[in-house]
Amino acid sequence: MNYQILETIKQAARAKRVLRIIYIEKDGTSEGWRYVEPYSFSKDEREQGFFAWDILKGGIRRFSLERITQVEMTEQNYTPRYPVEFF
Amino acid sequence: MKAEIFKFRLTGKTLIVIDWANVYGWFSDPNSRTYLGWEVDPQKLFSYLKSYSDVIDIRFYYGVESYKLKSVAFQEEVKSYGYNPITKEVKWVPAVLETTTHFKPIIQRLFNVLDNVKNTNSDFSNRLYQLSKKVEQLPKISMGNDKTNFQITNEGQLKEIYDAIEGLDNDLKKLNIDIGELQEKLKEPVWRRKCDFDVEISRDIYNNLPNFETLMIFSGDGDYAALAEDLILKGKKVIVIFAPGHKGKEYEDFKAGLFLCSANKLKQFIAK
Repeated sequence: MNYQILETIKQAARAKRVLRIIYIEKDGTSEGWRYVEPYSFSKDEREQGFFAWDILKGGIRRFSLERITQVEMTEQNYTPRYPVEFF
Repeated sequence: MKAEIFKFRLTGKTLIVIDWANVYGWFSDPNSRTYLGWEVDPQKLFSYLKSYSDVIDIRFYYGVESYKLKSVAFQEEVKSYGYNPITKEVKWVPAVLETTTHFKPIIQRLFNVLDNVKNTNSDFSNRLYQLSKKVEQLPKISMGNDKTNFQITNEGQLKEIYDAIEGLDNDLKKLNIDIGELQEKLKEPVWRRKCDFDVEISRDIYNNLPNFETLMIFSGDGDYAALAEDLILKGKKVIVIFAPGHKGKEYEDFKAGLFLCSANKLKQFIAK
């Protein structure tokens, strides 16, 4: 697991800052930068991931950490829609 | 440099207790996050423990299902190795519905379904996320009795969850995504294997109290922490063998008299 990615997600969640990620879908495609609000970890035994609100799509998505190739914390803050559970 | 071979420093006569249900749980599910990564061989375990001259008894506790040939054969096998086996019949308790573990796989599979839909509908995923949070917030379910399958502490919350899953199921069907199999899973009764030996083990340890100075127990179950605490107060030394991820947090506060040993230290001697 890439702990740097994990740490950036946690930092953004604690600071309520929007993340931008490059995410590779199961079929190998990518939609480029996606802007997301992180909310909680996905507690799946086989695959570690997290739930985040995809701003462009207007909904929660589950992202597998293994398929995130780049992650950056932006300067943009967000007002939580759900409890943020990264503490 | 030659690696040092691990060896216990036993203090006087030693009683060994193996709670096999707990030990078996260390390696029975390779998909588990806490899977040990190797199997404990009961025969090798016996030989290894017998190599310590201070060992007075090796008591092997496990539940038997007498209608299963494999279970009965294991009983004979254990005896043949030289153990002192203590057994009782396994009970299957009807439907103690552990809601979190019951619903979580269903919700995970729903998310898996949505992951495979290229343009996941946000309405579905938002509802699913809210559903997963509701499941996490469910209160503990109390034990059932013989007449009713289970008692639910908060039927309203449970109904909400079933309704939400049904709603998602119906909407997904409209998109030709069939999760009927998951619905069927909800109807399956939940059974729980029950064969705890904590009372028997405690009883036997206390009956043997004058005969040993050290107790070695193969189980990370935190329920034994109170027993360990009391034995230490009585001047005994206690060694707890556990697998990583299978050690009760009750042991964290212990200061003296307790020796916690990861099963991995014994791997070279007892692995199948």
